[in-house]
Amino acid sequence: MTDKWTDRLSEYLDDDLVAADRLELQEHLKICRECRIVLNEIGAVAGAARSLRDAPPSRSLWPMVAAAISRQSSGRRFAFSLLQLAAASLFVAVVSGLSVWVIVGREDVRVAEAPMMPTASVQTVSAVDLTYDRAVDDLLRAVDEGRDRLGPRTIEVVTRSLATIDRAISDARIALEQDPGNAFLTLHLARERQRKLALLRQIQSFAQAVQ
Amino acid sequence: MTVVSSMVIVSVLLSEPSMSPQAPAQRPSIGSRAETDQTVPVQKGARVDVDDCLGEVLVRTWERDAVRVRARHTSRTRVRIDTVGQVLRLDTDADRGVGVADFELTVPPWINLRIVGRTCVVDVENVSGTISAETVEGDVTLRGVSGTVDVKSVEGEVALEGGRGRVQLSTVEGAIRIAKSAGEIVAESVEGDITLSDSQAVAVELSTVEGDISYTGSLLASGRYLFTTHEGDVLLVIPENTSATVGVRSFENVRIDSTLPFKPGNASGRRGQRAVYSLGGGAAQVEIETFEGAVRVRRPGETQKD
Repeated sequence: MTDKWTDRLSEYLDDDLVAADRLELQEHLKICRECRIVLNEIGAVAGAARSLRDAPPSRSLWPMVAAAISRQSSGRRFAFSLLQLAAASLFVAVVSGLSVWVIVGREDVRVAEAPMMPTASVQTVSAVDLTYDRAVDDLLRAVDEGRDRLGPRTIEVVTRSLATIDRAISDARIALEQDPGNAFLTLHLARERQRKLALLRQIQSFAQAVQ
Repeated sequence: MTVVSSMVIVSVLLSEPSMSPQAPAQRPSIGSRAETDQTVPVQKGARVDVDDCLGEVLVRTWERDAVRVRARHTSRTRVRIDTVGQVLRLDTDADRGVGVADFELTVPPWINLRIVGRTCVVDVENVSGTISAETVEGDVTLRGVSGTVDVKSVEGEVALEGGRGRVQLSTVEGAIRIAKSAGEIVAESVEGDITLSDSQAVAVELSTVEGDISYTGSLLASGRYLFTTHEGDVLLVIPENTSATVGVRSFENVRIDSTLPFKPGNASGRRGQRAVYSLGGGAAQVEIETFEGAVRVRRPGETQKD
């Protein structure tokens, strides 16, 4: 999976490749499913980042940041394979602006994070997870605002289905802790995370569309 | 885009007298039922939008370039039929509460459809245009459709029979049943099962988290098939003379439980690696990915479980 194009997908998304490289990568994407999946995930994260409002962070951000730091310091985060780090490093270009905004935007966060970020790689993955969590959080809030239009039965179904997807994500994470180099698990985790975002977007769209 | 109000006037001007008319202005007494019946000419490329549907939408075809809208509803529900450019828009409202109506639409086969609703049962037959349907609770049934189809439902079941175009179906809880369909099929559910029977599809992607996947039919030599689940099982029922290469990725087990004579390829047994099996000449390309589900392959007519 870690072919020569893997670390250039972010440039591709940002339209920073020269024309020849862009064409070559487009041809490569036709035959490389792994690259397509990574590209989709980067796109999803970028899309989520774009959809976030350009506003000062709310007070409620801090518990998430603290929880993310706590997860790192407690050692519960799994070790990342080169493959995952390569994929994660791609995300940073897309989400760096947002993560800087989140982390630098509050003095107390900056103070708290200093001893918790031993390497750039860990910080990168943390920022990606944080961005993903924020996107999910925003969508959950939007769905919650529209719950009156969806009805209790639908909310129950959606809640149960989100729990089902979360269980799949958790299974993949735990398995990846045991087997960090497992390409299938990396793809599986990415797919389930994308599925959760897609479901939340769908429910949000429904809530807006119906009376 | 033309202003709605002006197009309402156009709509009224273009409308034919209803075939069994009942003037909307004549409000029946409380508790009684009312019926709207109006026929509107449409041009090639037109689309019918049913917004905020609460009730049933039944769509059938005829050879006229016109859309007949018949709606049965309570006396307190008003049915609005507006034309905006190439879009014929149908919706309902009511003095108090929401408008509930059952629509029966007769349309030219080429019409494009977009139907959105909370509790909305959709039934469409023999339409070749683009179909988009989104429901929260209602079931969606499509028969003999040949254009691009995009259906999303939360709780409803989705059924497609005889589809021939590019099809995308998704549910959260409901099952997806596809029969006798060709073309390209993408189906996704979180908890519902996905069943594809008598398939002649050339490209298939079926994906669930918890539901089972069942595929019955031919694997075309030029076909590409992808089945992914987290916990669900995958069952393929394919003819003995099938020519296919099957790649399996799983966290738990990359073994295929098959009564057909698959030849193991590079199956290393290491978790996470892709095991490859072949049948016949290995023409069709099949990929199966499951976290902990079982993979079974059977001949037609065999007991599916063991």
